[in-house]
Formats: sequence, structure tokens, C-alpha cells
Amino acid sequence: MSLRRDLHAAFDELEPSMFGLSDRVVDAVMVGGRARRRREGIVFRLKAPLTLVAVMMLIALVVGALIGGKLVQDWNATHSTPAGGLTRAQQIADLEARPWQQPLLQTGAVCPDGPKDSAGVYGSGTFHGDPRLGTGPVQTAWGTYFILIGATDSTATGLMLIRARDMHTGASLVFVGQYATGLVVGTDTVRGVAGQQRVEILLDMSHRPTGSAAKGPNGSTYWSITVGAAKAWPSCVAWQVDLTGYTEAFSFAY
Amino acid sequence: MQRVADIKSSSDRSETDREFADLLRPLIEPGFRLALAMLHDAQAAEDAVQEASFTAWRKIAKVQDQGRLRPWFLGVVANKCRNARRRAWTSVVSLGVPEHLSVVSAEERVVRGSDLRQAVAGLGHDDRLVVVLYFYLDMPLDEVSAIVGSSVGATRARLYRAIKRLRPGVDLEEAMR
Repeated sequence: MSLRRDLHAAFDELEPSMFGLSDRVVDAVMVGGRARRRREGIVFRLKAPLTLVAVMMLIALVVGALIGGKLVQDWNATHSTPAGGLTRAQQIADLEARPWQQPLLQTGAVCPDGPKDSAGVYGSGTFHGDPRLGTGPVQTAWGTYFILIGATDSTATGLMLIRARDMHTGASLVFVGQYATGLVVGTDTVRGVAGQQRVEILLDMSHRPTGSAAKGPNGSTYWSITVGAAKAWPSCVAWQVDLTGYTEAFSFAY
Repeated sequence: MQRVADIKSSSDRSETDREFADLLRPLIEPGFRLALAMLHDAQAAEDAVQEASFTAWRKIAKVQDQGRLRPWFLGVVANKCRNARRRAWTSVVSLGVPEHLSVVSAEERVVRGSDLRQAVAGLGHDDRLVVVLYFYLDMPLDEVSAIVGSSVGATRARLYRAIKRLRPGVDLEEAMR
């Protein structure tokens, strides 16, 4: 037998009487078609606004998630208690409250340049300053800036607050840029970038800069710090680095 | 050439309905046979044809040429069958077809028919569709290809593949007769 005949035989076995089928179907369409069409029309008219509502809800959800995420991030940034049960704000206040350790130089005294390690880098703790890696000076109408590179060891944790002062006058040097924090003492434009002058910088070891330029040896991190002094650069600058439970101080001679 | 769309432009609703019924009525039987061969269930087949008829009632104005009405309607029926199988999928085991039976008893014919139906049911939707349209509804390849929505060559190739699955080793030209 051919496939055609086999298939006819196979399916003809299933085929019930089709008597009245056409009339049944056509009548059903005639009777039910209009009602169904009206119903589908209503559903369609409902679907359009429902789709709009769904889209708006989706947008609201996304915006809500973004705003909520930002709020949570901000809250964590200011209220998290990662160390010693203190909030971030409390930790900063604690570091700012540390007393300044380096006395003013007496008239005619030599700048105590150092301490340095064997490689000639300033700093004896987890922060190291190497003026050879910096650039400058950059002159503005207000004063003189240097872009210095500070390095932090991989073992440094928590927040690191850094301040700098003229060892002859006791005047605070100012910091501009992303790490500048604390009291705002003015504004200036350095290398075409306008910003606030502040008296401290804050380095957060849990948010180290990424990128190849920030990677130092042995897991250390380089931080670009813009520091300025009014008018001419002082001949002797004292630095104080405060971390939780630790303070180190050194001075640069210029 | 009568435009099918013209029936929708009539202001007389009952006249429009009558014209539509006249167009639809001759399509019901081939539609039902197609659905039956695709679904193997008379009630499901009638439901599929009913649904296809509602769709036709709504969208018939899109068919510009009355000569294309039959392949268009059977295409709609095929889609309804695909949806029906998706809704109520039943697993199918292809048992093959006994080749050695030359003289068959009534009981053997029933068994053989059942095997063949199961083998057809084991094909994919498009393969099954071309087999049913070509062999069971005895439609020419160009009309089959119009319903399936592909070229005649592609439809022929699909049909060959389906035949090889149904009757491995069979001569294709002989099977196509």
C-alpha cells in the first residue's frame, strides 16, 4: 500500500460523521462572533491602559530601586559601624580630634626632614609619601599647589585622615579634589578644575582607587593628593596621618 | 477577482453575514479533517475549527483574493492545532510501521493505522502539517507551501524528510504518489 492510502485509512478510522458540522460551526460564529468581538474589544480597550499602568509601575519600580539603593548607600556611608562600633561620622570626628603632634619650628631652626625609610620615602607606618612621585608646582592667583602621590600599605584598614601645616607659621595647607574633606576654607581652580579648598584629606581603605595607575608594589595603593599653600610653598611642611589607634608624623623640607 | 474584503464594506449586516457564511462553509470540512489528523481527537479538532472560524470572521477582510481563502483558512486551523497541542501536550511514542504486512486482517489494519497515526503524531508540527495536507487532504505542493508559509522547494524537502522518518528506506518518488 502507498503512504497516501495508508494515511487515508489511518485517519478515516478516526473520522466521525461530519453531518451538520459546517452549519454548526457557521451558526456558532454568526451567533457568538459579535459577542466575542465586543468582549475582545473591551479586553483590548482595557489592555491598552493596563499596559500603560504596567509600564509606569515598572518605571516607578526601577526609579524606586535606584533611589532606594542610593539612600541605602548614603546611609551606610555615614552610619555604618565597621570598626569598634563607631559610625563613619564618629570615626572621622575621632580622627579629627587627635591632637597635632609637631610643634612649630623656632626661628632659625632646621626643618626636621623625615623620618624616611631606607628607600628615602617619608613615613614609618602604613602611609608613605614620596615627593619624587609628585608633580608641580602649579601656580594660581591664590597660591602654590603640588600633586603628590601617597602610598598606603595593603595592611592599612579603615579610615585615614591626613593633615598638613606650615611648620613656621602653623597655617594649615589646603587640599582639593576627591579626597579633600573637613572645613572648607575657600575655592580655587587648579589645572582647570574648580573645587573647594579643605583642610584635611580622608582616605578610605575599603574604597581604594582601582586602575593600573593606583596599583603599587606588594598590594599597596597610590593615591593622588592635591595640596596647596597660600602664596609661596613653605620651606618646611609637617604632615600628620591618623588612623584608628595609630598616628604617624613626618615633615618635608622644600 | 472578488475581493474578500468587499464583504466587510457592505452596510447590510445580515447580507454580510450570509456572504461570510457562504465563503466559510466549504472550508469547514477540510479544516476539520486537517485538525483531526493533526490532533487525533474529534472534539479538539472541532474546537480548533471553531476557533479558526472566529478568527476568520474577525480577520477575513485581510484576505484580498478569494482564491487564497482556502490556504489562508487552513493555515489558521494549523495554528489553532499548534496552540491546542501546546495547551494539552500528550506524549507520543513512535512505534514505527510494520513493513512486512501485505495482506492485513481488519484487526491488523486497525493496529497498523494506529501505528501510523502515532508515527505521524511523533513528527514536528510543520512536518506533520505537510504530511497531512499533502497525503491526507490531497493538496498540491504549491498549496501546501502556501499554507506552511515556505517555498515549494523547502516544502518538498520537508516532506521528503518526514517520509523518511515515517517509512525509512522507502523510495521517495513512489511514496509521493
